[in-house]
Amino acid sequence: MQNARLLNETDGYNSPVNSGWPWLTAFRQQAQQDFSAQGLPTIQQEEWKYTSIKTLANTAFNLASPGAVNKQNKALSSSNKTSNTKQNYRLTFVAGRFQANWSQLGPLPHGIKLMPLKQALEQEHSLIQTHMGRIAQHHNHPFAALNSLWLEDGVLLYVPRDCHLEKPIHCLFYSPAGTEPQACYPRLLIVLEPGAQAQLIEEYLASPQQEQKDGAPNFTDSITEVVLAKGARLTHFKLLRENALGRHIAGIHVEQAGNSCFQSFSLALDGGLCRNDIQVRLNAEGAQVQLDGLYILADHQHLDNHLRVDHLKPGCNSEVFYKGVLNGQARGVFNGMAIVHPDAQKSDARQVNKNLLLSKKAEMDTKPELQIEADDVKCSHGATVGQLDNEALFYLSSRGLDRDSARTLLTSAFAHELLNRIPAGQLRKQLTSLTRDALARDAQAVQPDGALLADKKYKPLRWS
Amino acid sequence: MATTTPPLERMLERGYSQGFVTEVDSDSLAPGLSEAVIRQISAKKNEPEFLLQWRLQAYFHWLTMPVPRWSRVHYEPIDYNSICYYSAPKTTSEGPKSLDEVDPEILRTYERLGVPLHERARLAGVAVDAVFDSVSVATTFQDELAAQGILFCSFSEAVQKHPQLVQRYLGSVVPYTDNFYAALNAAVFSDGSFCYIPKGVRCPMELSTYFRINSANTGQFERTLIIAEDDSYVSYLEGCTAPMRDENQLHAAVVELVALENAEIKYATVQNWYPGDEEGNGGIFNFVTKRGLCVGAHSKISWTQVETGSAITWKYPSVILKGDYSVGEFYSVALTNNYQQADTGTKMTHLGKHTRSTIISKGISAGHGQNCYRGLVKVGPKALDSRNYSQCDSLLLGSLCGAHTLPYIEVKNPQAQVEHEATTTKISDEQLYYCQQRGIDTEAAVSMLVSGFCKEVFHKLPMEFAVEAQALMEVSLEGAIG
Repeated sequence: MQNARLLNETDGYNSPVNSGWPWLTAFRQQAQQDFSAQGLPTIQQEEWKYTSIKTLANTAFNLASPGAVNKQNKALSSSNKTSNTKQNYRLTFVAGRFQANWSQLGPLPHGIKLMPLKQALEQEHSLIQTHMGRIAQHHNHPFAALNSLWLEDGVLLYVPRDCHLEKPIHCLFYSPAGTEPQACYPRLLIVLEPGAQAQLIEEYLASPQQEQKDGAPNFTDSITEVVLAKGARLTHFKLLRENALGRHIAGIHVEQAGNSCFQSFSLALDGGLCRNDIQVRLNAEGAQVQLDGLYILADHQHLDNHLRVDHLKPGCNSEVFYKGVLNGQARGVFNGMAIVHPDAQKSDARQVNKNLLLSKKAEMDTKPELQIEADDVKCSHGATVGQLDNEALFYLSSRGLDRDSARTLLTSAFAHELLNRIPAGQLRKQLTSLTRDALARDAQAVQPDGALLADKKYKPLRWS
Repeated sequence: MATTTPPLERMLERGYSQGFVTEVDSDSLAPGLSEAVIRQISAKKNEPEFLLQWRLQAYFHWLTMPVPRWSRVHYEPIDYNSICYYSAPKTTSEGPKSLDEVDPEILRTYERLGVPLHERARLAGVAVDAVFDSVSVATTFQDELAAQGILFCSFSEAVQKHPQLVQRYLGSVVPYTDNFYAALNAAVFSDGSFCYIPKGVRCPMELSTYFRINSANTGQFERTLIIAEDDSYVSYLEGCTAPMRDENQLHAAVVELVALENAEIKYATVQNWYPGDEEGNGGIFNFVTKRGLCVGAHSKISWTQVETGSAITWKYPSVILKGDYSVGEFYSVALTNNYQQADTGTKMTHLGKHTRSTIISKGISAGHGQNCYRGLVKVGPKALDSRNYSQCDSLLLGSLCGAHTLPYIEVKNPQAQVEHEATTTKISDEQLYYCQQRGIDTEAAVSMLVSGFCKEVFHKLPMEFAVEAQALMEVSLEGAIG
């Protein structure tokens, strides 16, 4: 059984099921059962049709240990510096475990709970028991089950009624280079009470591949559960910057009450085999969700975005807007699904997926789906796959731009349509500059003489 | 009060007017499927050895195949041994030599259906091949067509007279290994139409096949093969009806089109099998495999379909664009009312350079109807500069129906341009209000808006069919409006 490799891994200090608390033991037992019942998905399954995880199934992973973190690590020390500035909330995880000396958790407004999950498991039983595993359901998500089975650390964020957290919370997950395959299972639980507001950034970063001579793959299976009560508002950013050896499978599961708003922005710039599932349940009238995403893929990267929005009650809005630039032999997969359930009249669901295919060997498979069981709805979807407009290229050339600059200009204009949807500020600047670097990197990768912008890469986000 | 269409009530009274049964003696095999049955069918039709062998291979392959479950349609499992695989009206001789020999009962049937078999058909200018249960009963205008070298006859006749053509092209587009129902069809197919347009010939009239299921408990498994040689052109129509019965009947057809260099094939279907009653009892299961192969450069295949009948429709007329500069088109209107289910769409496989395809699909759901568009646009690595445009819109009438869209797009070439867009809406109150304000009553307004919604597709139909399709839509929407 191929599943065995992910199930039986132990590094001798933590058995998967037994924990100090009976409820957690039971929770893990259930997860183990659910995972065994499903097994790892194969490409025969519709949901995984375009993403083969054979390489994952055939690798024996060990549970990652942060022991070997180099104190001199450039990436992290630069992040440490920034934490002394005005940026207040940062949680740094190395190999899936919380690092207090590189994190800053306060001062927090009264009533807000922000802590590593390990600490929360001890202090916040009831909160965790109420929500964890309820939003991300084990029985139809094998990787959620796997995460529950192995979960150890992560983030808990609780914002009480009408409390507004102005500054974003930055969660940095860093995968150090290792000599053998390592796996980590971060878990995030975000609960916003009625009228609460917060911003959260999940950043997945790996050490540059150049540092890993005989590098081994890193596997990250992360699950984020979000509960938004009436009128709550969460802005969520996800930044994927792993390396070619990274295997990243993530699920973001959201449950929204009436008039709540979930805004998600996902930026994928680097990684090996990546899969992002975002599943949103609009449980009450007036809930709104906006899912934006941008992916810049090159080399042999594989990125699979699977989005699903369930309109369960009338009068909800959903908007999905994903764009991608594919270079090299990259493969992109997009599957957006909007389901309007029988009661959900006056639903408004929109989906757009646009892709630029810039090289001969890149491949894009896109499938925007609509399933509609109510009649008074406005639903639309659109998908395009194409290349740069020759006329636009000619126009720019005729005005004196060389071909490469013209291409870069048009490609970044394509990407900017999405970046401009992020609220203006430091964060947008940062993401824009990262995107620009990624585009330049990919453009130069085609020309061997171009200097790589390696030093800028692999540093965590920073702003004041 | 101004109305744009005949009063709807009158149309509604018509209901499913094709639902009568014709009393003719028929020669049927006992229900059941086995090697012996296949040998019997083949023997009855006096088929050459290669065809029997092909049928048997298909049968043994079919036995190994699981029933497909991936579609969104739901039905009780079919008992393949309770179906009669061959039923033919009894004839005195081997087959009708001319129209005069055809059973008058059958001729009256086609008369009632409005299919022109007699000389007056000349006025309509359509050559008809009429298929009754398992066999073709009459083909008109054969002589006129033969003068130009066009072969238009029943499949059985083609097997007897042109075995080399049949052997060469049969299964070349839809092999028996293709899918479950294609394999079943290959094993037991009884008749169908065969059409061959020689090099450089432009077929002077519309060719048409009219399919009719009459006997109870029979499945209809016809097979159509159209071959258009270099620089030729043909436009082909297909119509279907069946009596009203309480049980479900299976219709599993295969249509293969081959377009060689510079050839053009237009294939239009108005499918009006019995859809079942208002509670969803009875009706035809229409599980059909249709595929065209653009072999030569600059060839073109165009599918137009109007799907209003059948309890379950499950078909994906596809085009494989193999020749450079070849063109594929798909225009579809699918309507589901009461408890009808439709899972339909198309597959456009771009293999050659500079290939183009267009997909326009309109789905209308009413009552408890479930309508699903499922399409695949695939651009291979060598399909330089290929282009696809897809548009699939759904219209919902009533709060209990469903409309689903599942477009698959797979692109492996950077020079390809693929666009897909879809919308799902209901008829808006503003539109209705606008019409009413100008003195058009609600029903006429809805009917007008629906036909406006389908206009792009109806325009692609030959004129006679466009009129029929329009009328069909109105009848099929019975009780859905309001």
